[in-house]
Amino acid sequence: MTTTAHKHSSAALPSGGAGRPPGPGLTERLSTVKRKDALTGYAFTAPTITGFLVFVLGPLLAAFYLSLTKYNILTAPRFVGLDNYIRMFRDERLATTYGNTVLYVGAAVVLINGFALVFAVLINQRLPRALTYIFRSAYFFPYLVALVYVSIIWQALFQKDTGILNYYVAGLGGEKIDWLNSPEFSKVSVIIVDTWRNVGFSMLIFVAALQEVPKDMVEAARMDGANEWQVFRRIIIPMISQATFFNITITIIGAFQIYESIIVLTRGGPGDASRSVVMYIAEVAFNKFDMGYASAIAVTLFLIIMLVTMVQFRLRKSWVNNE
Amino acid sequence: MKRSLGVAVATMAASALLALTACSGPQAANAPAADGPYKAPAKDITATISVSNWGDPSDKAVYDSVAARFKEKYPNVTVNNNFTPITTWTEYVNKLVTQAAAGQAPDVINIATEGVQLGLDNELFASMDGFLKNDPEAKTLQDKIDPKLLDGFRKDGSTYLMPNTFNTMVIYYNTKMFKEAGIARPSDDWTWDDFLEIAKKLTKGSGADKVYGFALPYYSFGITPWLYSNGTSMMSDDLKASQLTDPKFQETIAWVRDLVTKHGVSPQPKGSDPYQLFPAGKAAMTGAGHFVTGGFKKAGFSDYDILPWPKNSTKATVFGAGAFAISKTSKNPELSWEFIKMLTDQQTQKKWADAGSAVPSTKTAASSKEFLASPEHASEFYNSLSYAKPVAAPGAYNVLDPAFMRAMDEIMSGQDIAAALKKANQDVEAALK
Repeated sequence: MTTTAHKHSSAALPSGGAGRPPGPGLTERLSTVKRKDALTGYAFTAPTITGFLVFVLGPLLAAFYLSLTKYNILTAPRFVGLDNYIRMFRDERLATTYGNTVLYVGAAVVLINGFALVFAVLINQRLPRALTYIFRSAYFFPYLVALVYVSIIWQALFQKDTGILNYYVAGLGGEKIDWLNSPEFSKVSVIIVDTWRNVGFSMLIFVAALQEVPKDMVEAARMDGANEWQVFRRIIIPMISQATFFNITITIIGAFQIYESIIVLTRGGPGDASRSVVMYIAEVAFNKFDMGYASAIAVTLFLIIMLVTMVQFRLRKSWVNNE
Repeated sequence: MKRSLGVAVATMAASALLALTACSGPQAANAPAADGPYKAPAKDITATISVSNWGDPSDKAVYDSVAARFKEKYPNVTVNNNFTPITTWTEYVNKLVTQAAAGQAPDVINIATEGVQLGLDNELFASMDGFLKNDPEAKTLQDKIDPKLLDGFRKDGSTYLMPNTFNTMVIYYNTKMFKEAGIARPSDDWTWDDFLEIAKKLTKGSGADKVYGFALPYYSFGITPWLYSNGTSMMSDDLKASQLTDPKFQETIAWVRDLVTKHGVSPQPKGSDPYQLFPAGKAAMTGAGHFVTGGFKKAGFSDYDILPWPKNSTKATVFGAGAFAISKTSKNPELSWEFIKMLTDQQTQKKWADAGSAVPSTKTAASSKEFLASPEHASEFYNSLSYAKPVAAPGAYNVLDPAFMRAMDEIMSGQDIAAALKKANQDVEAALK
C-alpha cells in the first residue's frame, strides 16, 4: 500500500529534486502538464467520488440530521434536538448490545488475525504447488459462501439436543452445552462462526505479505545462527507489519458491524445476550420504525469506529515498518 | 468485506432515501365504484398491475396459472408478480410499509392476518365495499367463504380484504410410531395431561438414536394454541392491551418450557426444525398448520395423521388467513379487483387445495376428494376453524412478535418467566401507545 503511494507521489512530482532550483520556463511548462495530469486524475476518480458523495456522505449527513428528529417513515420528521442522544443513556438494551459488540471486536482481532497468521505461515512452507492452492482455497472458502446456507450446517452442529458437537460432548461424559441459547455460549458460538468465516480473508493478506519477505534476508539471518523463532520474531513479523496493520484495521471495522453471523445462529438471543449493536439498530429502525433514534445510535457507532481507526493510524508509527 | 458495507450504512442510506421520498407518500386512490352498477374494465384496456406475493414455491404455480387466465381475459394487461419468500411476517409487513412510504406499493397486496391490522393502521388498503355491493359476482364469491374468515378483514364495518386460504394449528402424529408403542389415537377432546403422558411414552433412546415425543413449533403462531387452549392470549380481545404478564399466560409458558426442560419430551427448540425432526422419525408428534403437508409429500413421508390441539381449560386453536387487498395507492383498482376475484374463485380454490400449503377458504374446495385424500382425518383442517380464534395481531405486531420470542429464548435458557415477560410487555405497551 505505502509503496505504491510512494511511487505515485514521486512520479507526479518529477521536479521534487532537493536543492536543484527549477529554471523559470520549466515551472510554467510543468504546471500545464501538472494541470492536465490533475484533470485526468480527477476524471479517473470521479466515479468513486460520486459514489462516495451519493452513497456514503449523503446518507451520513441525512443520518446526522435524522438523529435530531423523531421520524417514523410515514410522517414527516419532527425536530427534537438532542432527545435521541439523551435517551441512549437510559437504554439498557443499547448498553448490552454495545458490550457484546466490544467483546466481538476484541475476539475478532485476536482470533481471526491469530489463526490467519498461523495458517498463512503453514501455507507458506515449501509444499507442492497444488497442495498450497488446495489449502488456500479451503481456508478462503467460508468467506465466499453465503452464510445463510452455511447456518443450517452450523445449527446442526450447535443444536443442544440433536446437535453433533453435543453428541461428542455427551459421549465424553460432559454436560450438554446449550450453544445457541445460553447467555454465555451463544456469544461463544457467534465468535466461532465469525472467526471461521473471516479467517480466510486475513490469511490471504498474510500469505501475500509473507511471499514478499526477501529470501536473502532470511538466509542471511540463518547464516548468522538465528533459529526459526528468532527469524520469525525479528524478521518476518516486522516485515509483514503493514499487512498486520491492514488486517487489524479491517477486522475491527468489520467486527463492529457484525450482523449476519448472529442472525443466522442465535437471532441475538437469548434476550439480548448475543445481540450486536448493528442488529439493535436494524430492529429500532425497521421493526419499531423509530428512524430518529436508530440514526442517533448509528451516528455513535460511526463516531466510535472513526475514533478507533484514528487512534490506530496514530499508533501505527510506533510499530509498523515503513520500508 | 461484505459486512463492512453492513447494516449501519444501509440504515443510513435507507432512512435518507425514505426522508426524500416520504413526502410523495400515499395518495388518494381512484375511489372504487361506491354506488351505481359495477362495470368491469373494458377487455382491450392496456395497463400494468403489480402484485406483492408471499408463500412457498408451490404457491407460485397457482399464481402463474391465475396470471395466465387473467391474460386471456385482458390480453393487454401485464401482471407483475413480485414473489417474496418470507421468513417472518414482521419482515414482510415492514417491507410493504416501507414501499408504501416510498410511494411504490403494489396494486394487489397479498397479506395474512398477522399483518392486516398494521396494514389497516397505516392505511395500506382500499375499501372493497363498493365492489362487494355492486358487483354481482362478488356475492357468489363471498357466500362460499366461512364468515369467520371474512370477519378478521373488516374495520368499522368496511371490508378490506378477500381471503383465499387459511391455516389452523393442529397436532401431527406419526401413525407408525403410535402403533409400535401400542398407543391408540386419542379422542378429539384430549387434554394437556393426555398429551404429556403420550409424549413421555414416546420419548426414548439416547445419543444418535434419541427419539422425542414432541417437536415444539417454536414461533409465535405455533405457541399460540397453548395459550388459547388455556384461555389466555397475548392481547386483549379488542387488541388494545398487552397481556403478557397475565398469570394464566405465565402458567402456559411454564408448561411449554417444561416440555423441554422438565419433562424432556421436546428437544431444545433453538436451532432445530420440528418439520425436519418429525418426518425423519426423530419426533413422534409436532404441531403445525396445513402448510407442512406439501413438504412431507415431497419428502415421501406419509405415516402421519392429524388431531385437534389438546385442551386445558378450553378446546381452541389459532388460525391465520391469507387474503388479498387492493392497495390504496393503486391506479387501477377495478383491474385489481378483477384479478383478486380470479385469485379467490372456485377454480383457483381447487388449485390452492392441491398446492398443499394452506387450507382453501371455501368449504367446497376443502371438501374436495383431492383435499381429503390424505391424511386420514384431513377434514379436521377445515373443521378446526369452527373452534379456532384468529392470531392476536395488533398493529404493533412487528414489535410484539420479536419481543415475545426474545422473552421465550430467555425463558428457554432458564431465566425467570415473570421477569422475561415483564420486559417484553413493556416493549409492547410502549409500541401500542
